[in-house]
Amino acid sequence: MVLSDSHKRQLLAFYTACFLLSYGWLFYNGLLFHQLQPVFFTNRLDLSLDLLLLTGIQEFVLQSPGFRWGIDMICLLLPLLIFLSRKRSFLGPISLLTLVFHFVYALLLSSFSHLSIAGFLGWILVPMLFIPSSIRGFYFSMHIVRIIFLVMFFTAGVWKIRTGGLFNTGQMSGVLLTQHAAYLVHAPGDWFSRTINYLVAHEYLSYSLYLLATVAELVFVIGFFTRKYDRWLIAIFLVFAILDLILIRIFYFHWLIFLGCFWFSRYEEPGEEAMAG
Amino acid sequence: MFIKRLYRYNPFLFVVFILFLLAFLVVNYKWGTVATPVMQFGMYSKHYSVNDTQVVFLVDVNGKRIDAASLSLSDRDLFQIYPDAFFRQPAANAAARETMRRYLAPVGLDGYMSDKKFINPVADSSFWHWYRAMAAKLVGEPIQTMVVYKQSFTWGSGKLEPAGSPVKLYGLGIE
Repeated sequence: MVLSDSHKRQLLAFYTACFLLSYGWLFYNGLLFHQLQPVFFTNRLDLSLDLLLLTGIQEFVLQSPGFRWGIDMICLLLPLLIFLSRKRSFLGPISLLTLVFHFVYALLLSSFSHLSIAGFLGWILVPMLFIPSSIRGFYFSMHIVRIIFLVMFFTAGVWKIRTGGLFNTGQMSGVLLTQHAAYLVHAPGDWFSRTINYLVAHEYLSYSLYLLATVAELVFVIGFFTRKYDRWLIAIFLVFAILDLILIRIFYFHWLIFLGCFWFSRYEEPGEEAMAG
Repeated sequence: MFIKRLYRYNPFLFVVFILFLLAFLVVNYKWGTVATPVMQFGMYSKHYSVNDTQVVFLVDVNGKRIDAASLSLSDRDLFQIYPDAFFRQPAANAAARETMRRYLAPVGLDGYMSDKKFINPVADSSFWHWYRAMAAKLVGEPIQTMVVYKQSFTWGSGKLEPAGSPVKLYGLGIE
């Protein structure tokens, strides 16, 4: 079956729903700029962030409540505009604008909060799907974003081999302690603390979870060679994200936004006739 | 093969995609930095050990300790991560700027990496004012007294145990 305009509309709806979930999570947790009202930023080894800091935009974030409100609102409105775009001629430019704006917004938010920039890659990259006006362009953009996600996920597994984390049987015990230290100190007797303490004390058991997570990341290599198992990769990612939330308490669901590329990847490239859109 | 079809479809897009992949290797692996969205995500790759010292911030508000375990994930992060980030940021921001200078120097941008843009002007008092406001929002009552301690813990006897005495970082409304 060939990728069609109807699939593009479905993916657009999925993107919007995922974005709203992600944005809603930030709002619920008081992590938007107007809620956080940050007083300092943190720099890191990120060339893009440093180029952004050169513009001096961080001073507006620090000093202007209106600016903070404004960027939070624009961040929300742009994806909604993409979703509501009826005219194809409007969809491309507004998607490009969203990509650029979310890029800047995510860099700033990750610098002014404890949130990792990695969580926002979907916000930055997925609008790229809706920039081309033709279905063929949509097809190629979707596969590019799919491959970037594969690279990111697969290399996370490779990195664990390179740094030696995978060969350290005490790795997961250390990770669990670091991640939950405050919880363990404040509620040492409750069921969650007892579970974590048990895992920390039984390092081979906790290490097996780390090994499984690494295998789950490495398995994504299959996606470079075939699209046949993409729905399995979706399932693996969901299990990974759910277990991460339960055990590590990290919210990986910002990345749900990428999964549409895996769901629709089985559809074939549209013919040349679709180039004109 | 996808890459061949991409080239036939749009050579420019093909070149951009290949450059992205090359940049991924050079920036992440050779330079050891990132250039969002060209980024390597470590996901707990660096070395962790059960013997690592854990630092926890203990916060007393109006005479009662804030129970970090009863907070949402995000609120707990706010209480635990931000004081740590605040005290680390002067050194961390300066170090990051020095490292990044060498990558911006070839295009002449290193000269623009001024203190004004890369070093936070925030005073300790401003940070604690912000932290207090955040705590007040969480406990849902005005804050009369507040004390923040930094305490190290180490793993021993099947649980986290205090290592040394707590260090008082901030006090409001108490002697």
